[in-house]
Amino acid sequence: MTQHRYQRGAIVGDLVRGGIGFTVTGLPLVVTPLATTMTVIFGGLATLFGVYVARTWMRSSQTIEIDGDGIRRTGPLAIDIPWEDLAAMDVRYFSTRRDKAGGWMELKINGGGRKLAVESSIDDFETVVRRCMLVAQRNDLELSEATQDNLRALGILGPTDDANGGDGPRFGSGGGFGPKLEPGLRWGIGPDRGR
Amino acid sequence: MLDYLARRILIMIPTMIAISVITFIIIQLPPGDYLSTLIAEMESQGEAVDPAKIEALRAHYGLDKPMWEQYLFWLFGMLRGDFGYSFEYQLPVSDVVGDRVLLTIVLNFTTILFIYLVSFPIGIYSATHQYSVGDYGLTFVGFLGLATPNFLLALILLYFANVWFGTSIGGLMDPTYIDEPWSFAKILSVLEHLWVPVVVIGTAGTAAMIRRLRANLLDELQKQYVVTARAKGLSPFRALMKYPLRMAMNPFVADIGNMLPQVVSGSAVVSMVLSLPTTGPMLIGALQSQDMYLAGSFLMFLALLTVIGMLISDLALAWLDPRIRLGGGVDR
Repeated sequence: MTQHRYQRGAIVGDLVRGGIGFTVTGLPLVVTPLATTMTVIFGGLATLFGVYVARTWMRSSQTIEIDGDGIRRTGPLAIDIPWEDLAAMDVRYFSTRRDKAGGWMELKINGGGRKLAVESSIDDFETVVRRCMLVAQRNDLELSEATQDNLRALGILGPTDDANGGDGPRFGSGGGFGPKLEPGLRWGIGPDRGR
Repeated sequence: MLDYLARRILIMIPTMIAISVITFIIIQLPPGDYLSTLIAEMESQGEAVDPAKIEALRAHYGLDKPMWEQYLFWLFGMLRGDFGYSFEYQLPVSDVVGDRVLLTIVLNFTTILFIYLVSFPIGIYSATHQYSVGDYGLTFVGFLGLATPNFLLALILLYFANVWFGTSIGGLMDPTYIDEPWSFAKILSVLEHLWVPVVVIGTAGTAAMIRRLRANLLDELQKQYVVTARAKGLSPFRALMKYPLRMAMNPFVADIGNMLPQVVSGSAVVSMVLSLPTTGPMLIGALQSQDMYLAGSFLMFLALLTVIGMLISDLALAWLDPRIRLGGGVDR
């Protein structure tokens, strides 16, 4: 079993950012009488930053655990997704800059009606993504083109097969497409590991 | 997405503060103030000016205070819903502006909707029927739209709207409804007048958007994965809609942020020609007469529109295309 926790530096950074946002948007609500529209706008923004701070604080005491049976989040708002229930996987990249530099990734998985999101600021994010992708392949899940590109950027997927469409997604016979795995990544984890 | 939203909005806060500072400084940059302009006007008309009265007015409007103090007064006033006092109209800014902001929003929103509704199908048609008669015809119309000056098109359409449909010349409603409370008949009158400025302001944007979508879609359609998809039996419609169109839409979405201020500033000139009761002509007048609180409020409104447009555009792009750009790299 592997355990992954969010890095302290990232948690502190997010808390500082959220705290600044909460202070800047919440302070005017307290110190000066605002117009109704402004109260709604500033109140909404302060709530957003409040939720962000609370979510970041919860992350500091959460752990992502992965073993042969599934992936789970322990601590506040615990979630357990067995591998056989894994129904969708998305790896998204976010950046606040127009050139898309200096951003972060987010792994989102669904299974059994439960959702789990893991950000790239967690320890050994690549391992978490790699394990999820292997199960996704075994469960024959369709990965979006964006997810495949992001997996390639993480070095988890190999380059695209030129004969199969060059720089676009790969199409299966039914119009779907599947990822092309790096050599050596065929043997994954999960209930049938070691068979 | 919560992370993205929080971080993106956090960037907006200093941006808005910086814009407010720059706006205020720019308004103050011309020598003198509103009262100096007023004195010059009165003297040019041969009227006597009482210096004591001018000094009293300067103190009354706070124009004798340092610039930073005037800025803070204006900024905190806006938070309270007090946008300051218009020297020229001798009324609070919110009273002067009245329905103009609402009409400006209606006009610009309809224009953007028009641009997207017209350019999207035409762009797709032109790309999928490249070098056909339809493509050449629509391209010609597009170039015509790009090349025709807005004010000229405005005058022509105004004439035909009057001759063919009996629509009154100028304005966004019949003169009978001006200063009347909002009613269904007034809304109908606005809709009857709205299409002329919408077509005039939207034509250039539509033409540019058609060209961009056509070029982007043509690039995508020539890629190998589309050929492969077609070769493997995917229907032409699905092979177009599933990936190439989605990819070609990215610049389309990214343009929302830029389009909003472009449309608003473009509508200012057209509003002068068509005598539209929008913010454009009033902003130009306020800048000319150094009516600083009125001009400042308008500029802040335009800046807010731009910043919100960029936010919408970035959120849509993050949702539509959450891919890393190689060379960018993950930071955390």
